[in-house]
Amino acid sequence: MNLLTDVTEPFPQLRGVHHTAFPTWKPKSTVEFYRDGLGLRVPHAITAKGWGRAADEHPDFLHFFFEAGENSLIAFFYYVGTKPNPAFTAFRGQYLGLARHTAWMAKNVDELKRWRTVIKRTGAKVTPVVHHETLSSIYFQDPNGYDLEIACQERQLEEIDVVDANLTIDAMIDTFGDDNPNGQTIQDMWKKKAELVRKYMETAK
Amino acid sequence: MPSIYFPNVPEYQPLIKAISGQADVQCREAGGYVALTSPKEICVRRVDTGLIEAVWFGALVGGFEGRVAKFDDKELRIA
Repeated sequence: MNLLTDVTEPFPQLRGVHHTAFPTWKPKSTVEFYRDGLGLRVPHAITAKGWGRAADEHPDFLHFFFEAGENSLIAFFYYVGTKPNPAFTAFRGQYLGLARHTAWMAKNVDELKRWRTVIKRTGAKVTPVVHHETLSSIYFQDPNGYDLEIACQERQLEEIDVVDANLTIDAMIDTFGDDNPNGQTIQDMWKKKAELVRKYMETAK
Repeated sequence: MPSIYFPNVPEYQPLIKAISGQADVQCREAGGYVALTSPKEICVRRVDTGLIEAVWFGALVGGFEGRVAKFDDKELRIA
């Protein structure tokens, strides 16, 4: 199924990230880290009596924001009187934990290195600069245990990157579907990918 | 015959060069891809590519035909 074929009108356009939001039970440490440690300005903060439906027993709360560049924000909720919920903040395992993260953009590797120094100064652990296929990154955690990344694009993505990404997506869906019912391996997917690439190369001649 | 495909982008050039420079390896280019085929096993050592692990372990991104005889942090062999 390709939803694009069913669309007759152009999609509306997203304009980047406005904010991502997370619960915190460490408002002091959170402010010390983001505002004082990383130097992110606080442009907006909401304080409110819990006004959700009575059945939700919505606590009173604060909702505060830090500027993360290019008009994007990272935001936190502090629910007064609630106990920390480890489902949000507990260590979730090395790779699964890292899978859910916020990645900010830096201008270049020099800026990444400067950020690395700044992050170290806060006392947080930060990885060395990791060079991936098309970008470089550093990884660290905030005082709540949330995973953060700062990355910079090492080269602009080209038409072949788009073609290849979509062939990978086709191979992935064909191989694994949802929940991988046939127990396929990544090697099965790479074989499927080769089949798609071979066909693509024939039509591109 | 074992084959390996790569998008023809900068980060995979060390792999493409290391494999295409080997005897009997045939190289085809089309549509922004490179296909490398050999009548015998395709073998490439990471040390010959200079690639860091983050890129090395993505070496099969373009797909392969044959059988993965070995793929660890030192060597990739497609039989």
